Amino acid sequence: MSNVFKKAMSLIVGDPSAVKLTVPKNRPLKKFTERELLQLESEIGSKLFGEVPAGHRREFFCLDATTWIWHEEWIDETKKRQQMTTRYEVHDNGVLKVQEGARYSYIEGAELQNLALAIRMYYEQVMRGVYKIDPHTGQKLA
Amino acid sequence: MSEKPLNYTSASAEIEADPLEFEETQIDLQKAGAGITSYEQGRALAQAAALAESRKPVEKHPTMFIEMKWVGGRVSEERHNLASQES
Repeated sequence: MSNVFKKAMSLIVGDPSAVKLTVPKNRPLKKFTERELLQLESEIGSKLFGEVPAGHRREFFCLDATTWIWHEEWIDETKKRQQMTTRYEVHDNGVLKVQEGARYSYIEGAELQNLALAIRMYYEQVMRGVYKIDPHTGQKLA
Repeated sequence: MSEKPLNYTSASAEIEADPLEFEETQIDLQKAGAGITSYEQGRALAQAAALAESRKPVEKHPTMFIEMKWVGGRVSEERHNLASQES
């Protein structure tokens, strides 16, 4: 698990365990904690925005009903590690984008459309891939 | 070029009361800017423009936002339920 993700997770949900999560085929899903399930979701979420550029690490996950988190870290041209954390808050009249340095704004246009599409794909893939539930019927997958 | 004076205080109050007036107010501010002749007028216009920008309404997609909340709630609920079964 990346340092930025651990750091962000510790800020958001407490002290995370430093374990890279994958779903072993013979391990029952119910053995996971809520935090571990969230990390599994993020592994799917990180791939929703296309190929992650070489040298980048990306995390994207649903924190709660109204909050979505995006983390990205990369090495810049001076070989320094850079990171960015963005929190998207869903309100009745828009999505507020909150970044470090108290920067915040409602997103619009392509950014809003892309986020909406990513959230839809996240639901489809996380419900099937992590929770083994048909996203359309809500029924457990066989 | 518009020479009509603008009541900046009134414009600001309107924006504050109803953010949806943003676009109309922005047009008014642009017209008013052409007639600026003093520092005070310029400063008042800048303040009114800044306020208008801060009150700019977001795109209205209520169905989209409802869906986003629903998805977030549904995923969170499933995560919580599954983790609770184990505890």
